[in-house]
Amino acid sequence: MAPETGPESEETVIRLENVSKSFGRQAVLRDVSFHVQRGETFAVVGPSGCGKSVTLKVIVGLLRPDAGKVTVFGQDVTHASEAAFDILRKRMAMVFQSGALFDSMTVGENVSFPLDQHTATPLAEKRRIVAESLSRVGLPGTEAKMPSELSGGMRKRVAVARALALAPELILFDEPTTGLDPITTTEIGLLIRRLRDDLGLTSVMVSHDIKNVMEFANRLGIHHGGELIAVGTPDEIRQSRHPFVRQFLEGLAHPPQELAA
Amino acid sequence: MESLRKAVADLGSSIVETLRELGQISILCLQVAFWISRGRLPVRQVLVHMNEIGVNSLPLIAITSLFAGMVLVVQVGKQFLDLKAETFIGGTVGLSLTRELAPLLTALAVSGRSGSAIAAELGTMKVTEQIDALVVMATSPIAYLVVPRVIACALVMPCLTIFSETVGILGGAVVAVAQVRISSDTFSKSIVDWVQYDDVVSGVVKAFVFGIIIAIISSYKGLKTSGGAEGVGRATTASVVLITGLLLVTNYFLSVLFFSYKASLIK
Repeated sequence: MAPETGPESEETVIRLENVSKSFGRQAVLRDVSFHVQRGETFAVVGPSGCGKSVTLKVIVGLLRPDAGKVTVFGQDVTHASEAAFDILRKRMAMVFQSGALFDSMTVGENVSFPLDQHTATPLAEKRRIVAESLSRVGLPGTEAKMPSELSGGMRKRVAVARALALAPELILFDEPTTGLDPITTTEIGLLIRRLRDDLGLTSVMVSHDIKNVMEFANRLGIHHGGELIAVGTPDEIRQSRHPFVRQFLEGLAHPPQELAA
Repeated sequence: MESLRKAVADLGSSIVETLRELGQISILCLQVAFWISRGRLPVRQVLVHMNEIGVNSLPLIAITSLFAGMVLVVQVGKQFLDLKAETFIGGTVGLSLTRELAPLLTALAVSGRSGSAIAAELGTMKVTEQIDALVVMATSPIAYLVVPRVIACALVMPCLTIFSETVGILGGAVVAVAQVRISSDTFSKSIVDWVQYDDVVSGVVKAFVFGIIIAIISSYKGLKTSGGAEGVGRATTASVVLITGLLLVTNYFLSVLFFSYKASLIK
C-alpha cells in the first residue's frame, strides 16, 4: 500500500510526512506517513517492542524526528521549541503505558495536577472537575486513594481521568490495554469509544492488541520493521494481502505460505 | 598492538563521556538559573524540601558534628597543654570547624542522606515515565522538580552548617573541660580571640555552594536514569560518588580562594 498523506484540510489534527527516527543503528521509524482527522480514533498496531511508542513520542515532542515533517493542530512542530510545543501540549494529553501517575500524590491530586499547573480554577470547581473526570472513567469517589492502592486497570483509568481534566482535543494512548485482563481490555476500548462519541475527542493509540483495535479504531496502520506497511479502515486491513498483515491478523508464527512467496 | 589501541580508544571514550556529562550538568545549571530568574518560585515546594533535607537531617548532623568536635580536642588537647598553648585549643577547634569541617561534614551527610534520596526519587520517576508525563502536561521537570530542590538545598545547607559548628564546638568544649581539664572560660575566650566573622562567613558561603552541587548533581543523575530498578540503584550510587568527589575538590579551591582573599586584606 502506498504511503498515504491524505487530503489537506483544517480537520487534520495530526500529520506525519516521511518521518524517520533511529536510535544508534536501529531505525525505529522509516518514512512513516499518516494523518489523523478530527474526531477519529487512529491506531498504530504492531508487534511488541518494535518502537511503535516512538510515533506517539514524536507527536508530543518527547522525541524529535531525524527526518520528515510533523504537523500537530496545523502547526509544523518538527523543530518547534519547548515553549512553542507547550502551548500545543495544553490542547492534548497522553496516557502512558504504565499510567505514569505521580505516586507521591493521591488520585485526586493526580487528576487535578494539570488544572493546578495551568489554570486558576477555584478549589470547588477543581473538585467538581476531578469528580466528573473520575466518574467518566468509572472510578467515582476514589480521590483519596494512593496510586499504589490501585490495580493496573484502575491506574490506567485514573491516567485517562487526568488526561481529561483540561478537556483536551486530542488524547494519545500508549498501549492502553497491555497487561490487562480481557474484560478490562474491553472496558478500556469502550471508554475510548465513549470519549470519541460523547466528547468528540480525537485519539491516537499504539497497541499490539489487534482484536481490540479492530473493534474500536476508525482507522489503523500496521507497523512493521519501522514502516507503516498498511494504513486503512479495519475492513480495508482485513482485505490486505500483505504477508505480514495476514500473519499479524491471524496470529501466525510465520507468514502464510501462499503469500510468503 | 590491538590491546594498546583498545586502551587508547577506551581512554578517549571515557574523556568524551566525562566532557559530555560536564556539558549536560552545565546546561542543567543554566536551565535552573533561567527558571529561577523567571521569578515564579514554588514556595510551598521549597518549604517541603527544606523540611525534608534540613529538619530531618538534624539528628545525623548533630551526631557527626558532636563527635568531630570532641575528637578534635582529644587529638590536640594534651599536646597543646604540654606546650603550654592551652589558649589555642578553642581557637583551633573553632577555626577547623567553621572554615573546613562543619561545611564539609554537613555536605557529606546531606549528600548521603538527601542527595541519594533525590537521585532515587527522580530516577524512579524517570523509569516509570512520570517525568515524560510532566513534559506532556506542559510542565517543565526542571521547574517543577529540580528548582525547588536546588533552592531548598542551597538555603538549608548554611543553616545546617551553623548548627553543625555550634554542636561541634559544644562537643569540643565538653572534652576540653572534662578530659583536658582547661576552664570553659579559657576555651571560649580562645574561640572569641581566634575565630573571626569572615571565618564563619567563608563556611556559610561554602555550604551554600555545596548545597547547589548536591541538588544539581543528584537531580542530574536522577533525570538521566535508564534501565529500570537497577538503573535507579546505579544512578543513586553514581550521584553520591560524583557529589563526594566534587565537594572535596570544590572545598579545596574555595579554601584557596578565601585564604588568598584574606591574605590580600592583611597586606
